[in-house]
Amino acid sequence: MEIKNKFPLIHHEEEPTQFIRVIEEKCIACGNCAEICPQNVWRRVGDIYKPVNYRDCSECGACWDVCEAEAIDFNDPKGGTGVIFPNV
Amino acid sequence: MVQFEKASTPGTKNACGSAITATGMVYAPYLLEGPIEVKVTGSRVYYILRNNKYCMFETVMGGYGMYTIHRTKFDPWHAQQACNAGSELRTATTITDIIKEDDKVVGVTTDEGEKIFAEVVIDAGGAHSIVARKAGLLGRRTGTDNILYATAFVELPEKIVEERFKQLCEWYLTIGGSNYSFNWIFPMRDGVSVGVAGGYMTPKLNIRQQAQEFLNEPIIKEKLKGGKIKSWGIRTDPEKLIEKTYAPGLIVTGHAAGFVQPFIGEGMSFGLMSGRYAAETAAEAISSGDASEETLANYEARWKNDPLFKTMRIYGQTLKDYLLKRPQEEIINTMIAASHWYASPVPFMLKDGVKENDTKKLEKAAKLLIRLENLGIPGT
Repeated sequence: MEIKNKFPLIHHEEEPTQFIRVIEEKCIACGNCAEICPQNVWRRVGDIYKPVNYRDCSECGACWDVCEAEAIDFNDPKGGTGVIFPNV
Repeated sequence: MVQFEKASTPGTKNACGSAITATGMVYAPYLLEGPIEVKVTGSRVYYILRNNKYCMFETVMGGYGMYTIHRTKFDPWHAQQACNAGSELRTATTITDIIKEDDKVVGVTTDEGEKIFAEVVIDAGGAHSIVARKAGLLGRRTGTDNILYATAFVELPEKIVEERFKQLCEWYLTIGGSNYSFNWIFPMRDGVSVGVAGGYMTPKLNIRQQAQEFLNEPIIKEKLKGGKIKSWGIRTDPEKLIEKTYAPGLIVTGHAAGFVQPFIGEGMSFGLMSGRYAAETAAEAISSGDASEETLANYEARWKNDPLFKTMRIYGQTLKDYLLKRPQEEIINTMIAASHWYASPVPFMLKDGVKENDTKKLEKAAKLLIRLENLGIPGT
């Protein structure tokens, strides 16, 4: 198996709602979120970073942990949506 | 009592190492009745060297040191035990906020906007718990306070699992690779759980590369030959305990509180410990009609005075301090010594559980650990 830009076989119960939000005025565009994210969810959009790819998000929360500017409002997706690990 | 579960089926959001150690069974011996996959009788530790070479040593103990489980089977069974005792289970429900009155937590709000009131709220919301954050008890954990890891389930026929792994857990340490920590393969009935404990939370950490390197090792290819990876999961292990694990009307347990000791493979066990003490404290608070901060402080007093937790915490911290200060080659040597833990007589000694108010067995286990440390075994 090849793991390129993201882990394959991340399953979702239903596509999650937008549960990660950037507090735009706090973002200093350091890119820590994009660098640690195992699933390449984050992209630079203009002067800040934004989560653009919820479909691949594993909900690990690493982006929230490494954001020194505390610019990430990281929540849980709505019940019954988002990532599941059907075989763990 | 009401249990809230984010997923439609309990356990399906819980990527983890898929094994409860014997330590966990000390706190919740009734789990031995649950749907266990494989009772682990020992360990193999592999040191993957350069040039496709490796060395391995195998240690078999006289009892069971770990019990592998599928969270997707085990957690529904566990939730049902609470239902059998009179609890309600609400699945597919996310908690979005806490309700406070006069600085006391008196309930929670669901993602449907429903307000649920309770005498005591027990938070088991995981490493990034909304409840603990809203209560001001939990902040970001980064650097050496948090580990990022990936797990996969690889489907294999039961017969192949038995032939290749017997009832042994396997640990893999790579010398010279980018993975500065450890990987594992645990046997299940219908396959194996594979783990890549990536490392500490710095932006430079590349867990995908580490997982790929591990899967590319010739010995791993051989171990997983014919297997099919069914799913990957990625999670964090918060190592640092929060400063305060209770507030008026609220108790914080498990990963949310930081009850994890990754270097000695203890996550679920101390989560179970915290759950047990939370339940005991909440029961007292409800029966006395007093869920004040003073009453719920008994929860923290309970876990702080737990002899096994105290000992394991010292052990885990000693190992962590050691690992962070030494060069990689030396770390590998230490891990060779530390891996004795997984086959040490301590979990075996505790596997039958401990009777209430009987701490003799735990004290004996603590003394044994101290003896091992004095012998220079776990990074002293």
